Amino acid sequence: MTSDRREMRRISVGALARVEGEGAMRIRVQGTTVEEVALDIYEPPRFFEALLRGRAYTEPPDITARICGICPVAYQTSAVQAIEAACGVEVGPSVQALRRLLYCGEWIQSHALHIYLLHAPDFLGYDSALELAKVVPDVVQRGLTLKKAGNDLMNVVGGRAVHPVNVRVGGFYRAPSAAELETLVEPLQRALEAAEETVRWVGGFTFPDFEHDHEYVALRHASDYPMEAGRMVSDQGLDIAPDAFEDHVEELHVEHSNALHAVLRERGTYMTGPLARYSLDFDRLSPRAQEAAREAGLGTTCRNPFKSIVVRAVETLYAVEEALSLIQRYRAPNPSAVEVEPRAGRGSGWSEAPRGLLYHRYTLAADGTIEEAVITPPTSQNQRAIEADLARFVEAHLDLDDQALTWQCEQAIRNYDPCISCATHFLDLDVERRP
Amino acid sequence: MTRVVVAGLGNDLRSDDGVGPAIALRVARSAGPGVTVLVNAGEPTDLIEMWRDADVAIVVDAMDAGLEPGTSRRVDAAALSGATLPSGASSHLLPLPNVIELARTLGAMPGRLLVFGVQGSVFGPGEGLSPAVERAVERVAAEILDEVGVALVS
Repeated sequence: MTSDRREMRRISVGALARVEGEGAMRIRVQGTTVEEVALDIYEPPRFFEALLRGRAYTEPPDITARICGICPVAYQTSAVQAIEAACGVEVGPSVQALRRLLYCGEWIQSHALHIYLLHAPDFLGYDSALELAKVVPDVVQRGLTLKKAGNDLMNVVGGRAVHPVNVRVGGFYRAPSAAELETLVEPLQRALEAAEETVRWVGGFTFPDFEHDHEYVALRHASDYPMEAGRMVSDQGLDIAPDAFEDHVEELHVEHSNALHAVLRERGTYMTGPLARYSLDFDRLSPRAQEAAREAGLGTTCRNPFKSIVVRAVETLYAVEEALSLIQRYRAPNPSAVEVEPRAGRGSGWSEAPRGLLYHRYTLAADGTIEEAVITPPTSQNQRAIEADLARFVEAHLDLDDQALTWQCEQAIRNYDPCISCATHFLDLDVERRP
Repeated sequence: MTRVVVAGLGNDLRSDDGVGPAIALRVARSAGPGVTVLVNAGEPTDLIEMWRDADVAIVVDAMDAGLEPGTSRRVDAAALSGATLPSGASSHLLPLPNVIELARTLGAMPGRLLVFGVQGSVFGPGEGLSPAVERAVERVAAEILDEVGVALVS
C-alpha cells in the first residue's frame, strides 16, 4: 500500500483495557507532515496518591507495591527511602545492601521478561513469544531460566516473587540467613552465562537507523551502577538531591491524556531509563558488563532507542553479577530493620526502576499520618520522549505502508518498556485515509 | 514419590478473581505433606516453572464462561488444544490456555495437568467473593483434594 503524498493518513491504535491499565496511540499525517502524535496512558499512581492520604507512614511500601506487578521493588524502595528521609532516619550499609540485592532480582525478572517475551519478537518478525518459542524453543527457555533466577532472588529476599512482603520502613521484617542466600548462587551462576549469551543474541539483531537527542536523566552514585541510590544527574548539567526533584521537574496536564507529562522546568522533554543510565553511568558497570557491551557493538553511550534491548541485556548481566557479589559479601543486618519514629516533615526518595527513575515524596503529620503523597513514575517522565520519537520516526518512514508503519511504531513504544506494555500489545488497528 | 502441585490463580483484590487463591488456601489447610500449594497472579513463566517438574499439577482459576456464578468445570489440559495467542500478546499476564500452549512448545508440561474453573460474577476492584462464588470454595476444594488423593496413591 503506497501512500499518496496529498492524502491524510490516520493511524489510531485503540487499546484493550487489561489489569495493568490502558494505552492508545494516535498518529495523524497530512501529506508529508506529521500533524499529531498522541500517546494516551491510563496512569494508576494518580489514584494511589489520593488513597495514601490519611494512611499511616508505615503503609506505603505495601500499598504502592500494588501499583505495578512488574516493578513492585522500585515502588517499595522509593517509598521507604522517602519516608525515612521525612523521619530523619538513615539505614545502615547492611540494610542498604539487602535492598540492592532485592532490586537486582527485580531488574533480572523485568528485563528478562521484556527482552525475551515482549521485545525480541518485534525484531525477529514474530507476533508473539509463543511463535518465537516454536522456532527457537531453546532461546525462549534461556529467557525463562534467566527470569527464574530473578524470581528466586525475589522469593528468598522479598518473601515472594510478585509484590514482595518483606520490605518495611527502616529495613526488612526478616533478614534472610547466609545459608538461604547460598541456595541462590548456583542458579545465579547459570543465569550469568544465560545473560552473557543474551547480550550476544540481541547484539546481532538489526536496528532501524534512528537516533534521538533527548536530555538523559539518571541517578549517579559514587561507586555503583545506579539502582537504589545516587544523585539525579543529566547530560546537560543537572545534579540534584531527592528533595530538589520538584524544583526541577514539573508535571503538566495535557489535553489528550489522563496522565501527567513530566518535563524539566529549564529545558522540557527528557528521558529516563536504561539508555540514560547506560550513557551516564557506563563507567560504573562491571568490567565484564562493559566488555559484553563493546562486543555487542555498543559504545560508551547509546542514543538509538531501538538498541535499548541490548542495553537491557547488559544491565541484566550486571544485575546477576552484582547479586552474586552482594551474596558473597553478605552480612545479615541485625536487627533487620532500624526503628523509625514518625515526625512532622517532608521527605523525598527515588530509585531506578527497570524502566527508569521513580520518585516518591511524602508529607507526614507528627503522628506519622500521610498528609500528601506524590509519585512520579518513569512512564510519565518518558511520555514526551516517546511521542517525540514517534513523530520523528514516522516522518522519516512515510514510505512504509500502514501495517509496517504501525508495527514499527508499536516497537518504538516498546523500546521504552512502558508499564502499558500489556495494553499496547493488544491493539486494534484502525487506519483512516482521506483524500 | 509423586510430586503434586496445586496453584490458585488470580488477584484477591479483584473480587471473584480471588476465588483461585481462596480455594488454594483451603486446599493447603487439608493437604498432607508432599503437596505443594501456591498462589500465583497468573504470570506465565512462574506457572511454567512451578509445574514443569510435577507429576500432577492442578490449577484453579476464576473463569467468565457465561455460566451461573459459582458453577465449576474440570478440564484435563490434554483435552485443550490449538490455543493460539492473540496477535502480539503480552506476557505480563496470559490467559491460561496460552500458557499451556507455551509450556507445550517448550516441552515443559507436567505429567498431568488438571484445570478447575469457577464462574465468577464480579471482577471489579474489591476484596471478598460474591455469595455464590464463596459457596463454591468448599466444594471445589474438596474435589481438588480428591484429585490430590488419587494422584498420591497412583
